[in-house]
Amino acid sequence: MEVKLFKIVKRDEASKLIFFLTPILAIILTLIFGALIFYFLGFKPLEALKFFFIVPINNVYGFSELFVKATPLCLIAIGLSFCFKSNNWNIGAEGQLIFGGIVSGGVALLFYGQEGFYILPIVILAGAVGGMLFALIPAVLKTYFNTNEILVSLMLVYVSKLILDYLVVGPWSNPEGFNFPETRQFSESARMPTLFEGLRIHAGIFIALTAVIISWFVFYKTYLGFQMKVSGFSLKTAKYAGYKGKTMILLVFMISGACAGLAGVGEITGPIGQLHREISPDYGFTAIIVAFLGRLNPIGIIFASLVVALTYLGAETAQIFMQIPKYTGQVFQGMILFFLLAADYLLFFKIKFLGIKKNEL
Amino acid sequence: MSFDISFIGVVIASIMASSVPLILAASGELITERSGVLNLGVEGMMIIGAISGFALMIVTGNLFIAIIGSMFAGIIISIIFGFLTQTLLTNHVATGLALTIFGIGMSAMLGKDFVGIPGKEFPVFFDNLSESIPFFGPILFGHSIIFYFAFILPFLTNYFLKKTKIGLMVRAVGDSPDSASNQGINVILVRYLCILYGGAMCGLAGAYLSMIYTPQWIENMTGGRGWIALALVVFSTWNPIRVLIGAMIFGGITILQLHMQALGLRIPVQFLSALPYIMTIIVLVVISRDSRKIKLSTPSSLGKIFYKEK
Amino acid sequence: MNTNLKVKNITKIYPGCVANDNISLGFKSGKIYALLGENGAGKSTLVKILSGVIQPDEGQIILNNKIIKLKSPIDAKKNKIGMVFQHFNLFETLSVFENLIIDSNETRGGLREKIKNIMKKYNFNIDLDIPVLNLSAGQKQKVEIIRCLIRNPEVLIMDEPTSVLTEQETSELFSSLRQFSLEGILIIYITHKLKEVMSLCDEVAVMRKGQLISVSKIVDEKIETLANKMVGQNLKTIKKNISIERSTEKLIKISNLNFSSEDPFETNLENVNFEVNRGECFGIAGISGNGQSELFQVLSGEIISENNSIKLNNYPIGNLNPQQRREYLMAFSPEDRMEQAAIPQMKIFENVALNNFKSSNFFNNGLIDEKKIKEHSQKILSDFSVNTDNVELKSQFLSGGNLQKLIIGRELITSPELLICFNPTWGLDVGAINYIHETLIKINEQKKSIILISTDTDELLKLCDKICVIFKGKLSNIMNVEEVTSEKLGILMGGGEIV
Repeated sequence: MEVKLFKIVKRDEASKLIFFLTPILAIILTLIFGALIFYFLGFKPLEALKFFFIVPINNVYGFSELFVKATPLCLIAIGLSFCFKSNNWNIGAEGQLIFGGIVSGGVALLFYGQEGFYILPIVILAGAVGGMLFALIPAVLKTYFNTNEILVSLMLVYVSKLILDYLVVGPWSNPEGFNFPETRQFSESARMPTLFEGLRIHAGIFIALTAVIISWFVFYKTYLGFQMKVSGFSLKTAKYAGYKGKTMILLVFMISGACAGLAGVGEITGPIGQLHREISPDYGFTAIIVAFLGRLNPIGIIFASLVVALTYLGAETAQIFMQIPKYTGQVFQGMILFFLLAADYLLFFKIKFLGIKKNEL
Repeated sequence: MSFDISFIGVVIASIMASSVPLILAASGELITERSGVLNLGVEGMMIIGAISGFALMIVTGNLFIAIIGSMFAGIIISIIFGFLTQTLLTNHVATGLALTIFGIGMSAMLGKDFVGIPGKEFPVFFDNLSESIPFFGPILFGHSIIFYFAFILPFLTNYFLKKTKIGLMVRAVGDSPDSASNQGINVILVRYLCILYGGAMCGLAGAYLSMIYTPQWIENMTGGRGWIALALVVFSTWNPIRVLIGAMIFGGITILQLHMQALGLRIPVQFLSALPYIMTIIVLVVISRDSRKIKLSTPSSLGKIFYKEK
Repeated sequence: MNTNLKVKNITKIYPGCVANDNISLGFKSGKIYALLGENGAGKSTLVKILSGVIQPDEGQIILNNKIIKLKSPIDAKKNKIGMVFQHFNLFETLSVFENLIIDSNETRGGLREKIKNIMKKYNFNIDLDIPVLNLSAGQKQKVEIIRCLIRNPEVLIMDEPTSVLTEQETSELFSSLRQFSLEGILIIYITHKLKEVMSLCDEVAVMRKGQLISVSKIVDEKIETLANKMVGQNLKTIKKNISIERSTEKLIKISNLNFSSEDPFETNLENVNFEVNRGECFGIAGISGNGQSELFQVLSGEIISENNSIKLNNYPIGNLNPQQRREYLMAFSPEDRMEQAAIPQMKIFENVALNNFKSSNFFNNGLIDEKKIKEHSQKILSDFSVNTDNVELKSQFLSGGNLQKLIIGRELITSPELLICFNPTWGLDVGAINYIHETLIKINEQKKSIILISTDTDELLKLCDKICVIFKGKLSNIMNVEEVTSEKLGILMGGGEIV
């Protein structure tokens, strides 16, 4: 007697239904497994989940913090979507964020003590340019030297962190700062205006939303976006259509770098107000998860960034109330990505259930 | 400060000690990458090994179980990576990143109750000799078994890849999974085994950190060494012996930082720390320029998903 | 050795094409057999079946009077069938010796001895310990042959072995093969090169369009007769109606066109010269792999050339890219539907947008005018009888024939002055083929020109006014279609010359 319970068959068509369901499926599975992990580690699962996902946002301040955290995530992920859609694996967004922060921070310090409405825009621009230039390094190395962009952009993350470290400990350190590794606090004119009294939501959210709209527009409505899309599918076809493949690669990296740089500016001129050692809790890496979870789609990315932002907040809250280590946020972030990637298998393969077969004797 | 030879001996010994986790992790990842799999989860596997080893040491009091347990933990977590990339055909880069992020978080959760607890003392060999013989004493003696293992591992790895049939298969799979499959080699199985081996070595590397190097558990204590190990694999162009040399260079830079002030060098500490990463980028550019050079140095199928239509 | 290999009623069908149609052949040891035919004739399929890479839908393989089942290449090896593929199965970064030991059960020492003996016997001279990457094509092939010889094969199959060899290497190969044959190894030699067949082989089986056309002894054949069989005897096929007055107005002139590449699998183009007049269809015949793909890319602009080597209406366009050439009312239909001309995962209307021809206004001011593209796509779908009217359908769901109709339609509906196409009807059913042929003839009637590169000689004779043959990157003399016979074509395609 032959027992064959199921057979895996390649689909003819990527199922549209599954495409929309898998992120939700991934989130549900994450919650379930998260609860299990809490249980086995001696925490009350439902209580832990409550402190993780509900308590952080059940007051106005908490809810607003969701947007404070989601803003940089969304912005970076939008930039990344350009790269990932065209098969360019920019893993170094964190480095581009930091470098953008460095450049804009430096400009902000240049204007220290001055006033003027023109200062903030210059600072913001500096951040975008900084991120863009930093992203050009892996882009150029890929286009003209055939070098793998994953490893290069990754290495540069650490280089940027060390540059920041050097600057805040050394030349840019606050002379009146008792030797703490931080710069002066930026003056008012170089700070992102906050939107509501008592809340930390700042104008950076508009930058993020603008990026969402622009990316949606470019990708779905412009020739440029179309060329990027085609180049991502097949460089051969792009060549046949007469598109400039190399320029596309440089362009998408620059866009991605600029977005990450803007996120960096947002952080240092927004909630942080200065430069110090840790201007980002790995937003650049988590944004990769946001990009995947949002399926590289602008609207999806908005929702995904809110979900992932919640895991940051939840980790903080759970630590305060239940002494669960803050790094737990990453457990959830990692799991969401695992389950999403795993669930994507169902996009291309279906599981056919067969019965029990009897062998002919 | 005098340049006396015994001091240099001690410095060299400390460089060697700091390079142990790098050698272990990079040697493991090297095998994985030679089979064509890019596992960015090294940092995550290392930290899981660190907490597993430490926790087992405290809970069971048995060092042997702790070491084996750390390797086992590395294997288990790498199974997740293996299952996702080889069976469910997920994107290597995203999966590896998820592994790292998850691993760091998970280790923090598991390690919650172990913060601040002092570790047990780990047995070393020939301790008295290390102090009595100048220069060579501290270098050759007074180390744990893992230390000695780490310095033999590159040679074992080299032998494995060049002289054994299985090692040959690993290289073949990395070179051309289609040709390998056409010759009857089970590409998926070979890759699974390489992934698991990488997990075991990374777990061991982490355990060395938490049990021997700085015997305690701190959240995120691997501190980016996993990424350096990844850089190290590339920097050494996937050659086990060069991993040893590279690890010493990278480890040496770390130690050198600590003695910078004393040596009166005026280079910013951060510049030194950045060197390994910058050097890796330069090596990458150099080996990628020539398509022939790339082929000879890099496993051709690195990072590409292998799917065989039946 | 007394080996007896038979294939009986072998049939293999792929969607839309019968690769092997009820093939039955017999082979005996001590002879060198040629399996001759154009690309797409079915030889590769048959040989893949014999080496266990694919399984037949019907039919049997009988070795030494025993039916054998070859479910994988390992089974073939176990049955002492050795195969050397056209694209080598070697690990470039491993040394020669490592490549040979990887699928062998012998000891290192024992194997080294064996290899040394083989090399001595057949006068091969290869350093066993250098990476395969550093070997020439001929040497790589020798490694593959040694790999087969280690297992003492009874049957040795060579698939298009000389496509990457020099003259010298070819003659070395032939003497080796003759030596193997004398020792009793049954050799099956797959090729499309007539000269080689005549000089090396004892018997020849000709295949065409999946069917076995003839089996005969070489002594009974001449190059011309083989060419005839290979290319098709029914030349009563419709030849182009040339009663329409031909224009003498030159549209495009290609002069001294050269292309060279470092990739050994790419063919260099040498001194290509030809002209096409308005309303003319210019055909380039030839066996696949003689530079057609490269010539297409040079004409389309995917490969840039020296500016003056291509002149359209006397205007140099050699260094323009495809998009720029489209501005000059050129259109291109490549051979590769799935990876070059279209992207299967994109929708129909998105694929139509790939040809952003002059006055299309698809991307006005850089913005996508979806409405216009969709309207245009609808027109293509209906004008060219593509069996869907849904422009949102992903192209991967169109059958080969319909996808090709879409692509040709996309190119033709732009009313180009010049259409360049490469194997436009490859892999299509008869209905689609006829439809496309009629469309192409109509264009000529509207005084538009075509450059048709094709490996299907029937097609060329039906559609073209002038034909030449490309062989190893060079063009033969250009003939008017009236003067062409299949013998002439066959000889030119095989590299010969017409006296």
